[in-house]
Amino acid sequence: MLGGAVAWIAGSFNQHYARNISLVTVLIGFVIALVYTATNYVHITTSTTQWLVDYKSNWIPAYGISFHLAMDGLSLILILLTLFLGVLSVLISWKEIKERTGFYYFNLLWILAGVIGVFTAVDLFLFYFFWEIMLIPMYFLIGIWGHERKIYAAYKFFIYTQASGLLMFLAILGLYYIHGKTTGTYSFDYFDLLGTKFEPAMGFLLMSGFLLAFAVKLPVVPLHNWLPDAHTQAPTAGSLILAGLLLKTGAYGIIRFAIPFFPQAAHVFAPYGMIIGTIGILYGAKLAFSQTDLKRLVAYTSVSHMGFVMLGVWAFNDLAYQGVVMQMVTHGISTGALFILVGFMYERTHTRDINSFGGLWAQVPKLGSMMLIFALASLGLPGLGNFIAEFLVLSGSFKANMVITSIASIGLVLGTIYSLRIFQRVFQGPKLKEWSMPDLSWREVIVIGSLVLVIFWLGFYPQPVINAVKPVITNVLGYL
Amino acid sequence: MTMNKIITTQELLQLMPFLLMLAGPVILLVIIAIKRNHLFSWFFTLMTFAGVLVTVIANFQQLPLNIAMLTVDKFSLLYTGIFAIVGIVITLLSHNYLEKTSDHKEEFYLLLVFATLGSSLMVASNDFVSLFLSLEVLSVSLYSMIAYLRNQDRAIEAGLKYLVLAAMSSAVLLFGIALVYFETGALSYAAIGAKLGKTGFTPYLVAGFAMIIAGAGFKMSVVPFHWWTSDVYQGANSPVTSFIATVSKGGMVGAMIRMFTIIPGLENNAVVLVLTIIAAASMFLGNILALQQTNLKRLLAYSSIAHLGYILIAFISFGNGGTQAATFYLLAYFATTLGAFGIIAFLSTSEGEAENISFYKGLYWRKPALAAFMTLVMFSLAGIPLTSGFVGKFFVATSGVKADLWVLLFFLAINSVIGVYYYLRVVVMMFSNKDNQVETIVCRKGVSAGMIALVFVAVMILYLGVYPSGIMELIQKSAIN
Repeated sequence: MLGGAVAWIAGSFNQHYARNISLVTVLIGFVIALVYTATNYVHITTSTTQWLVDYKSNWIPAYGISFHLAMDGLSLILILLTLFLGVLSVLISWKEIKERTGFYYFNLLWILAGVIGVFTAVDLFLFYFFWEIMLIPMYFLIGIWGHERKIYAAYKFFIYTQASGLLMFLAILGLYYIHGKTTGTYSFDYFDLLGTKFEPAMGFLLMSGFLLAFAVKLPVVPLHNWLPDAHTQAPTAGSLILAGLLLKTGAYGIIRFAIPFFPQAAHVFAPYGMIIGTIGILYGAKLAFSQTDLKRLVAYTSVSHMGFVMLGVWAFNDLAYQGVVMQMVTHGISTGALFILVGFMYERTHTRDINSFGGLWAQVPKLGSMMLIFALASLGLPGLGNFIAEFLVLSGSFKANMVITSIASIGLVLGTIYSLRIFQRVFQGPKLKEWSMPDLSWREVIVIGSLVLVIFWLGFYPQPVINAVKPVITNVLGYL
Repeated sequence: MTMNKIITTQELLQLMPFLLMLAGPVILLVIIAIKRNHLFSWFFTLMTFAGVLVTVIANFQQLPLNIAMLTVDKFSLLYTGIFAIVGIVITLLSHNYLEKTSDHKEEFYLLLVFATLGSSLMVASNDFVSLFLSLEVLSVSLYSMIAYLRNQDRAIEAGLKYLVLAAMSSAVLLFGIALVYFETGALSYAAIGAKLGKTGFTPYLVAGFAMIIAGAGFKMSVVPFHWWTSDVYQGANSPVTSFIATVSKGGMVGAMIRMFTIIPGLENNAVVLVLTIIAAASMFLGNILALQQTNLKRLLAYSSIAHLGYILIAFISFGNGGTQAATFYLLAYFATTLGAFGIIAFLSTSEGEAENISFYKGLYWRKPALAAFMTLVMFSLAGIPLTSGFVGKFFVATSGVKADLWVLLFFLAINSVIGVYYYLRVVVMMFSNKDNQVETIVCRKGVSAGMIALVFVAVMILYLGVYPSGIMELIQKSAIN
């Protein structure tokens, strides 16, 4: 059902026209997904089978490749997030993108289609296909409509992800081959490949191939280098999609593929994974604190937040997993919102230097209050979605490893410092420079307002999300 | 052996694709002697290739025919058909190009058809004698094609370079054949294969095969036999370069596949080791040298060395679907290369070739369709999904995995990343801003033959990239048994 919608979206943007078409396209997709969720909510949360939708047709049968899409609760949540942020990204580009709009929206929609494809593909060849498909338009988005050092950032982004993606591809082939040799049927299908047996060393090697690709996307700390540049140089919608969606594909990949395929190797790797996650939390927070470029700052907070995902994923219990999914969603919303707000400021002042702002509250109270809300969300204030997520992750991981989790909790304190710093330096204190800044327009209020609503909703009543992914989590943990 | 009987009509029909390529140029030669007409010669050549294609399709289902040191089977017909299609594309591109640059245009087409004949016969050869003869048909035609624009120093230089080195490589190849003959007393693949089964590999035989690989390596331009590539690519005019990059290399790959299918040369570890080293060196050296090029033709030359390295991976994993993968990759690479040189030929003027990368700066904002096409080509070369290059690499990697060639595959992954870097540089160039660039590109209005060729190539790249099953099944059916 939704697979059809994906194909339809993919087909429709070839006629790349202006923003209106793309807005309508994404909106329709979003509404379809919403209606689907609303009407099938009971089924989604109570069904005993993991998969809600399953669509399969042959593609390259000689090599066991099929066009196989399937959707479960996790995919559904992430697809909703994708389409929601998709609508917003079209809206925020309304004024920012003035030249070559047709090609711009073409790329934007293509990324969305690629991301949805990644979230639904259950044929590994198809998965890799979508994985690559979303890269190229992102590369263009950064490379053409980005800021001052766009070419450098675009290259870095592309090379990092391409290199790690190719290693994943080799791992996929290895998995395909080993499975084929032991069972006699060569297939790329997720369901066929599940439960393949390996020599421990081989399993670990193959898992590293997968993990490397996902870790670059997430990003995990030693591999995060591309992120600050890509985020900073991308246009606002690009940063929103990068932070809100592309990073999530890494987390999704670990949960969907890396762990179920290689349970033994995953157990071996788990403590290291948690340590790496913790390092990410602390290191990202520290670097975020020392940035003067607002966008770069927000980018490093992403690194820190994704550390929580990495920590929770390797804790292997349902509490932590619920937290991870919540973190994926709320981070998409809150960090996305921060990027949007910084984007708004950049549109008005053409600078992102934190030192040139100050005391702007009086002039732009709406912008300021929005910034305050999301800065608080980012530091994990109760009542806002991120709190639930981080709390669940930490309490889940605490069961798995007390020491590491205790250290990771320091991240929350650091989060408070950097989040408040944004607000304090920009909106309070002495006015350093006179800016002619209009406050938010109706379009901008709609964009930010919807994000505020969602983050509050997730903060007070996260149960629907947790319910939707519960069958998935039970299943994934069942493979271990 | 088969020479002493009279050729039957049936056999004649089965040989038709080759006979057509032989007769076509001869007739054309007579016509040119009577009256020169570029458009007519062009059209006549197109018809020749079309005729070849039709006879290939008509004969495709026939049983294999062994006649006069040639094997006409599905495999050779498949290659011949592919070469004919490439020939059509190159002919389409050449008209406009020759019109702009050369004063004697008609003879070019003779050489083109002859060279294609040489390549097709190489794939059909089942004997070292016919292999060598057809190789020479190809090479001699190429000498004059490369130096065709004789008022340009660069073309002459390239032609001479190719002549000297090709003659050298032919000599090495011949010496290798002599060594194999010395050990086995046979020249036909089948006899040598049978002999090998009994005696195994002797040092002389290994040396002989090494020299044959060296001779073949020259035609395929793999390291360390690659020195001519960049200069010849740059010096020859674009239609010829695209021919060297496609039909000439493809003929040699096809011939090698047949040779090593009948003679189990890849059962010898030394031969495999040599090929492995050549493959690895080609990938690395080709890509690293390509990184530093500012001339698009030279860039493509070095990148072609790397691509042949990828094909060698498939070749080494011979029995594991490797030959099919190599054939598919070749096909994918043909489409892409034709696209790249097609664009260059299309944009070249009488003043010079559109070969500097900076020439393409801001192309997107002036000629969006051409730039989009070039982007597609570059993505295909880089092996990005939706394009033929990606599927080709996938097949190569799959066969490599089956043959446990992990080291080579790891190199393949590294090299793909290096490759992405310089292919993207071209793309970035096209999408970057047009700062004070003069409108240098003059394109004629209306539909030209070159444009048809480019559209066809683009469709092929996408078709192979999205729906490869059809072609792959054809290739699998055409395997030599």
